[in-house]
Amino acid sequence: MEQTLLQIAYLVASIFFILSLKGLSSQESARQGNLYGIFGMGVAIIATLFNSHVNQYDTLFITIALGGLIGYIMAKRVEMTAMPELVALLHSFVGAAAVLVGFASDASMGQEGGHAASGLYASEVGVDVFIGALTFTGSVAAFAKLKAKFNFFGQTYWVPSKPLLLKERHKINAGMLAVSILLIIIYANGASGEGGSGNLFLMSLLTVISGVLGAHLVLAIGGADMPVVVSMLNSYSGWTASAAGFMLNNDLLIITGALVGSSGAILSYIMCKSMNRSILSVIFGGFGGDNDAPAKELTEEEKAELAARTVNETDAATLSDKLCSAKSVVIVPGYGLAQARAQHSVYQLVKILKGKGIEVRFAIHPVAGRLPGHMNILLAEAAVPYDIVLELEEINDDFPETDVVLVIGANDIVNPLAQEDPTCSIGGMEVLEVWKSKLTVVFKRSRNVGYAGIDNPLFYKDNTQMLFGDAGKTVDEVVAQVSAK
Amino acid sequence: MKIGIPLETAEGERRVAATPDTVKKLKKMGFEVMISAGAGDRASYRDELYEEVGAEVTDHATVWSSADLLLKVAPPSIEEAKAMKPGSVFMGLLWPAENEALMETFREGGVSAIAMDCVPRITRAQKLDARSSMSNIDGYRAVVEAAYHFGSFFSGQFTAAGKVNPAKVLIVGAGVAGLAAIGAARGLGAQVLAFDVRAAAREQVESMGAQFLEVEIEESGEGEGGYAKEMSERFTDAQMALFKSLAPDLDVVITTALIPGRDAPKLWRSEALAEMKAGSVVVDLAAERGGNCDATVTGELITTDNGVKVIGYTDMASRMAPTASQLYGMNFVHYLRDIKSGEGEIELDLDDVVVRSSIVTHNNELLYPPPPLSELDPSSVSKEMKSAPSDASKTESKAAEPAPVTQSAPVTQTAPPSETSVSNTNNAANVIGDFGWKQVSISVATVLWIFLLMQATPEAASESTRVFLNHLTVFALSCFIGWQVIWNVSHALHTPLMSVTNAISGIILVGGMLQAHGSELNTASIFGGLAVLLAMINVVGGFAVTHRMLAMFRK
Repeated sequence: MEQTLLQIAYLVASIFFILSLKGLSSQESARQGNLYGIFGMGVAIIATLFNSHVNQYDTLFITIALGGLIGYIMAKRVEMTAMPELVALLHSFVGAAAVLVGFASDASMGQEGGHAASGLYASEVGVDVFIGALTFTGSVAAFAKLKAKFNFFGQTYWVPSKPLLLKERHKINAGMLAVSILLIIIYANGASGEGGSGNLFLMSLLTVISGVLGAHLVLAIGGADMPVVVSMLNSYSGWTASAAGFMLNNDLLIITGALVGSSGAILSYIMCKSMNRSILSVIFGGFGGDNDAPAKELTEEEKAELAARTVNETDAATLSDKLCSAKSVVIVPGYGLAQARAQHSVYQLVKILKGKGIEVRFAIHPVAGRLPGHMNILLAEAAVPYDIVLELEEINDDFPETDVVLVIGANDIVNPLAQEDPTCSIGGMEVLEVWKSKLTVVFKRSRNVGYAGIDNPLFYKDNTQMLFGDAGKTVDEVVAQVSAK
Repeated sequence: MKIGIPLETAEGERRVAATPDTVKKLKKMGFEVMISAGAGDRASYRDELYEEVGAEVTDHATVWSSADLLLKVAPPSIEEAKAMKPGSVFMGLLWPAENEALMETFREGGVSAIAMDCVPRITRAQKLDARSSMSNIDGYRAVVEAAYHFGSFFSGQFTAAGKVNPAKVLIVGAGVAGLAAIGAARGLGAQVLAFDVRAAAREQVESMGAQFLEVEIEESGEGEGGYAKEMSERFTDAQMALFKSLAPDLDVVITTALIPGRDAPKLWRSEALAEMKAGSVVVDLAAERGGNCDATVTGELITTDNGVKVIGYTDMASRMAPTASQLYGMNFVHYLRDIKSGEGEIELDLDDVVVRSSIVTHNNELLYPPPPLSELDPSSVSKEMKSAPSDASKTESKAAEPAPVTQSAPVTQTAPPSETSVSNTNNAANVIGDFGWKQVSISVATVLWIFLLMQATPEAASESTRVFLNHLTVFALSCFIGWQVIWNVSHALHTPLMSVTNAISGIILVGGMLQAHGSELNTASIFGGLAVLLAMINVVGGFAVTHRMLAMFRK
């Protein structure tokens, strides 16, 4: 009877999780979706507490309360601009928890009250630990790369965003994968048969190796692919939960894990498609990077030509004149907007311009920022109404009729090379065709190249003007100038 | 490939096969476009507009002789067709059954000719169905013409000087044109009645706000592919009696009834016409094929002895040339997008049901008439073809208009009752098409795989193996659900979605909780407790952050 009730409760929780994901698919139902998720989780936790197998309530209450408190504080205090790091960090917790559950299962295997030892069960434990450790270190690596700067005891450490590309990395990865599989097989053998038991040493070894593999995989991925990586890790954390479900004979874990896993995988796929990259190259880090055309040796002539290229600089006063006389303005935000925390100033500008009867819209590239949908979140934080925030396909045909385009802290997503030169690293990626507008103004901190590490011919076009400086400050200046008019 | 847009030389033809907007789209697909000087003039598209979007304006003869792909509205003259180079492609309204000499010219000249009027009425071909888009205009224009010649308001009015009753309009034939006419007449405020022999039309008629008329005899009038078929005498008699009894009250009658391969049925006969009031108007959209009304004179407006105006214009769409050209031009854009094989290149795949149905000559062979639709596999798609949007099934039925097709189409007259079921099967196939063959095949494959796994397991499989397989089933189904649910998430919500899934993946804490048993702390419960702690951070953190983010979104 009790078992039946538990199953029903788990079923209810699963259904609420599905409704939650479904709810998240549109703005109107999103908040309700989140509530469904919370409710589902509540049901799952309470039902598990009533499982007769569980009896150490004091431990559970303490850990649940403490964990909940820490989570709540983290969520309250995080800056919206630091969202990618937080999400990556949270993924690592799932991975770590899975590893811990795997170790707990190992410890109790064949013991009184634990699961009977068997080859199948042991291999499930092994797989759970493998995916868990991979997720954990992968997420930690992603977190470090996203945060980029750490302060330890007064000293600042920088994590390079450049991919770590060891020469034989594919062989190394394959080797570590093979060793992990081998370890799981040995472990399963040790557990099968009469008197089989767990093996803490093998488990630890497996954890270390798969941990190195996870970190290595993520470190080999370039910064521009970070949004895909984060959602890929999201997917991994789901598969981890699913693996734990197989191990613990628990359908709720299997269902929920599979839901999360497939949703993360789909998000990654959608993003890879919009960047025109193969998903394999992202998962396996720099896959195919070896085939990239080697940097061309420049001839003297080309060098001279390059040197002769100049950018047109502008200043806040001139720009504000142009803005006030425009009919239609499009703003293209990029990661630089997030770094400069300029979203509030930008919306201020939008409000003033709208007050003057100018049409202002935002154009969001699918991979702008360091997280899928990152820009949307930032703009929402600044209270920008979402109906003036348009996606690439919605707005790309409108650029020729646009008077002024403001590119704020974006580079690769407005690079015409993606269309002109199929061999460059972003070749074939869909980009916002801002150069077709009458005037493009690029807000840029420095003359450096973008994350993908290639030059941007947009900056040298005749109808492009550059406004160098910290985006937050320059936007503020423009706001001041425009509101004075 | 170089696309040529010639000047329309047929008398009274004001449309043009491409507008500046569609030229822009064609250019984007990689085609080069040239156009005869003045081709768009009568549709209000000047040459400069075409030049602006990158079309080359040239003379008429050059367009005919040098185009690789010619887009045209009306059928060309024999001389024009002879001027085309071998191996080139012609697309336009051809009415192949009536233009045998022209087909012969194309065949001899080695031209691949595609008749836009022969595109099959299946869901995925909707957006390239030129007959539907033109019929829609016909229906609207019929109402406008009727209103112009009718001496009163369409909507009822209460004025200080007295009351005017609303016009009473009857639409005969509720296909694309009929439904468009209902919409336009309703928009003007008239009281609208509609009649159709196909029972399926009732719902569509009523959804447009018109009253559906019925004859008290059970007989289905559905022919193949949603077209009407000819009805029995008994039914026709009842129908005539109904029309005659209604006629004195009607102000406007618009007839749109056509049966494939036959002259238009005479529905509005002299008896009914004689009952109508002087000043009322009949618009006969079937005039080109002899007309539904006894008094119709093709191409003209006449007034009968009892003062009823009967309009038999055959160029309704051409009377709205700018919009008709745009819609017709878009039909080409969609067609070319479907058969595109590379930048600016097309490939004519005869296994594709749309191409097979509409192509009339290819490689010096006459391919007309095509095999009937029921013999072609509606699921065969050319590689560029995407499944139609899901709301297409609704419009699919709307497209079921009786319209002139082919004289030799093997349908109608002796259509056996089983024809109805044919069209149903097509519909079923389309429903699956909307859902996506890929998804269906993947789920079938998944089920098969699990089944095979079960089979491969020896009978004496241990309990744990069976449990494992059960879990695997649950796992596969959940992946499928996740996949279905997530697919349509809007881009703006990707971050909240990720943080909520992240919170949900904290479900691993259940795994940790299950380890917390035993009378005192042991290795397992310590590990479990730590797992619960970490997972709980994740759960609460994830949900709280999502909540924060969602609270920020506003319209």
